[in-house]
Amino acid sequence: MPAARVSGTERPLPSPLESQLHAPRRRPGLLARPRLLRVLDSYASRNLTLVSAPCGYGKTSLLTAWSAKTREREHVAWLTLEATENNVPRFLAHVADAVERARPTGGRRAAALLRARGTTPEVVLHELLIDLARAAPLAIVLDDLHAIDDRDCFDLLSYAIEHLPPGVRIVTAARADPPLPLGRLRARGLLGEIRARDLAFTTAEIRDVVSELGIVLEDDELEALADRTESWPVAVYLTALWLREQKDPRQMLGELIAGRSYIGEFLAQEVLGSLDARTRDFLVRTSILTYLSAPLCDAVLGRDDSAGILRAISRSNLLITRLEREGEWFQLHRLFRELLQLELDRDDPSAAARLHARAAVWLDENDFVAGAVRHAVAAGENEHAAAIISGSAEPLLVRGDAELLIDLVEQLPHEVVLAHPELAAASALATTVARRPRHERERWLSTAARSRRSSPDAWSPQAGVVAALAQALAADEEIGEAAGHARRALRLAAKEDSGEVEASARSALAYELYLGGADDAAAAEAARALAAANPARRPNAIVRALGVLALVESDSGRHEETAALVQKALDIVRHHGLAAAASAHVVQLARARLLLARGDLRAAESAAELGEQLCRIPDPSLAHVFALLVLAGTRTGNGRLGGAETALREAEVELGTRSDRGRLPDLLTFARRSLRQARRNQSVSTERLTAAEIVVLRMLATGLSQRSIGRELFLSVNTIKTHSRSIYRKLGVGSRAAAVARANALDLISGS
Amino acid sequence: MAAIYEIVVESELGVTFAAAFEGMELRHVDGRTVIVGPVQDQAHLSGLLSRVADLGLTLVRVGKVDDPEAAVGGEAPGLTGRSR
Repeated sequence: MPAARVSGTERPLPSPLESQLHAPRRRPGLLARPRLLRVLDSYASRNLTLVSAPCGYGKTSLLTAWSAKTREREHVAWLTLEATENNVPRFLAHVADAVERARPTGGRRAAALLRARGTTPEVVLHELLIDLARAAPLAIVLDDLHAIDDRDCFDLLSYAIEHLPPGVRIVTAARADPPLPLGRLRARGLLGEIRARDLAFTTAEIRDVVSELGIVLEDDELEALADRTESWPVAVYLTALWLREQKDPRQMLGELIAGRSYIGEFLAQEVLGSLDARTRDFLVRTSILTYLSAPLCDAVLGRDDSAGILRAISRSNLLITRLEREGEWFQLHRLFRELLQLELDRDDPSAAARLHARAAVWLDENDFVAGAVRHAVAAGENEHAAAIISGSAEPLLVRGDAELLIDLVEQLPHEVVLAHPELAAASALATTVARRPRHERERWLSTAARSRRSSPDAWSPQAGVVAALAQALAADEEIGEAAGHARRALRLAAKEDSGEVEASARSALAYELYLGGADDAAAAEAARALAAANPARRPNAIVRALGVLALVESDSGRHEETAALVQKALDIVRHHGLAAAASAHVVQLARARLLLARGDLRAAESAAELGEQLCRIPDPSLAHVFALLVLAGTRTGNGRLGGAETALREAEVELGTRSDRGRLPDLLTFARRSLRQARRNQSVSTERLTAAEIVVLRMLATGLSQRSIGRELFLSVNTIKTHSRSIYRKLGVGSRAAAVARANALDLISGS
Repeated sequence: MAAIYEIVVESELGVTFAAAFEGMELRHVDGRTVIVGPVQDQAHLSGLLSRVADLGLTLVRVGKVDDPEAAVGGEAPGLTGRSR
C-alpha cells in the first residue's frame, strides 16, 4: 500500500482546498443588499469586522457579494475555515496562502516559512504582519470562523487584529461570537459589527425576494410573513420557493402564518417533499458529504448520472451553492443538510455508515486524505482510516504536511493507534519534521514502543526505521546519540533493502559526523546518501547531503567546489519547494560562509540568518549552535559586533550542558577570538553621541538631503550641519558615507 | 451521574427535527418546544446546544431540573427523540 501511494508524492497535497480560498459563486437571483454593503464599506478603518448570526442569515452570501464589489478597489484574500485549520500552524499557513493568492508578494515569505514545516508561530506571524504591510489595501475574509475553536489560534488572531498594519482589515463571519476580546476591540473603536438584527430582512427585501421568484404579496401579507419568519432570510426564501409550488399560494401562506410549527423544519420538509423521488433520494443520501461533486456522488451512490442531477438541482434555486474550484463542486445550505441527514437516519438508520465508507474510498483514491479519514472514522471503519493514514504518511511528510499527519492519527481511537505501530512511528517523525518540542516526539516513540509490545505481529522493520529516523533527524541530542540513531536506522533499512530510508539516514549521519568534527567520514557518508537517494522521493536527504559536502569544501577553502554544490542544492530546494524545510538550513550556512569568503557581507549575514531560523527548534540542538556560530561569524565580518555578541551568547547557553560537543567548542573559541579582534580594531575611543546626534545619524543613513532631514525633524538646515560635524568628529570620519559605515560597524543605529 | 436538563426553544418542532435530540423527550407547550432529558455532563449539554444552533432554533431557556415530575408543564402529547 505505501508503495502504491508514493506516486502521489508527485502531486502536491494542497493544504487548503482550492474551494476554501475562493468566495463561492453567487447564486443567481440572490438578493443584492446595498444597505449592508454600505455598512461593510463604512467599517473600512476598523481592524475587525464581525458578521455574527445563526445559520440562514445570509452571512456568506453577503461577504461573497461584498468581496466581488470590493475587489475593484482593494485586494481581498478569502479563506473559508474548516476543522482542519484548528491548530496554529495550519491556521497560519492557510491564512498566508490566502493572502499570497490575493497579493502575490503579500504572504509569500510567511507562506514559504510555513508551507513545509513550521518555525515558531510567533516568527511566522511576525513575518506575515510585515508582509501584510506591503499588501495594503487588503481585506482578509475569514468565513465560517466557528469551524475552529482552538484557544491558541484565537490568541494569535487577537494579537494579529490589534497589530494589523494600516490599510489591512479582517472581515469574518461566524455563527456565534468568537472568543476574541470583542469588548476591548469595541471600546477601542477597532470593531465593526453586523449582527442578526442587521441581517434580518426588511419588508422591502422580503418583497424583492418573493417577487424574484414570481410571487406577489400584499403589504399586510408581507408584514405577516415577516412576523412569522422573524425576517429570517432562509425562512423567507424557503417560503417563496414553497409558495411557488402551491395551487393557491395565498391560502397556503395564510395557513403557514397561522401555524405554530417550527418554520425552518416545516419549509425545508415541504420543499424536499415537492422534489421528484430521484432528486429527493439523491439529496438525502448525499447529505453525509460536506461538498458534492458528480464523481464523488456517483461513487457514493453507485450511480452514473449525478452530474445531471446536480446541475438540475443547482438550476432549481434550491439552497445549493456552486463552489469555485477545479471541477464542479457544490455545497448545500447547512440547515437543509441537517434536515436531510435526519431524514436519512429515519429512512434507513444503517445507510449513513455505508455511504461514509464509500466516500472514504473515493476521497482516498483522489488524494483528499483528510476527508477520507474523516469519513472512514464516521463509518466506524477505523482500520480503513488507519490504512489510509499509513498509506499517506510518506507523501504528507515529504510534502511537508506533518501537522496534518499528526491530526489525522489523533482522530483514531487509542487502541487502533496501538494496533498500528507504524502510525505512532510516523507521528514521531512528523513531530521532528514539524519541529515540535522533544517531549512530543518522546510521547509518540513511547506509544510506538508500547504498541510494539502489545501487537508484536503488527510491528514492521519499516516502523523501526521510521522511529529511528525521527530521532536521528531531530538532532536535539548529543552528537553520539543522534549518530547512533542514524546508524540504527541504517542497519534496519539495510534489512528492508530500502534505498530511500537509507538516503535519509545517511544524510542525517553525515551531518552529525560533520558536527562531530569528522570531515572525511562526513563527506564519504554524504556521498553515499547521494548515491542512494532518488531526488523525487528524498529531496530533503539530497539537500542535506549536498549541504554537508559544501561545508566540508568551504572548510578547506575550495570556494569553486562549494559554490557548485550550493547551487546544485538550491536548485533542488527551488524545484521541490523546500525553501522553508529544515534540511535547507545546512545549504544556507554553507552559502553564508561562501559569501563571507567572497566579501559579500550583507548577503552572507542574511543567508546565515535564514539558516539559523530554519534549524531553530524548541529544544537546544547542536545544529542550531552551529548555525549561531556561523551567524556570529558573518556578523563579525559585517561589522555588526553587537549582533555577533548576541548570537555567541545564545550559542554558549545552548552548548553549555553538553558533554559531546564535537567541533563546536573550537568554532566557538575561534568566533570569540574574531569578535575580540574586530572590537580591538574598532576601539578607537568613540566619544558618546548625544540622543539628538543619534537621531540625525539615523537620518543620514537614509540618504535624504540635509535640507530634507531638517524638514523631517523640524530643525533648521544649519542645526543639522552642526550636528553632522559633531558626529563626524566623534566618529573620527570625514564624510557622510564613512559616518554611516562606521555607525553600522559600531551598531549605533541598528534596531531603529 | 446524569442530571435532568430542560431546553426550551421557540415554536413547535416536528418529528424530523425531534430526532436530532436523541434520548430526550420533546413536548409542545404554548407554541414552544420543551426538550427534557438526562444529560451526562457539560460536554453533552454543549453538544445539545450546538444542535439547537445547527437547526437554526431560537433558544428561550435552558436549565437543570431538580424535580423532573414538575418539569414539563401541560399534558401535551410528547414526541420522543430518537434513541439508539
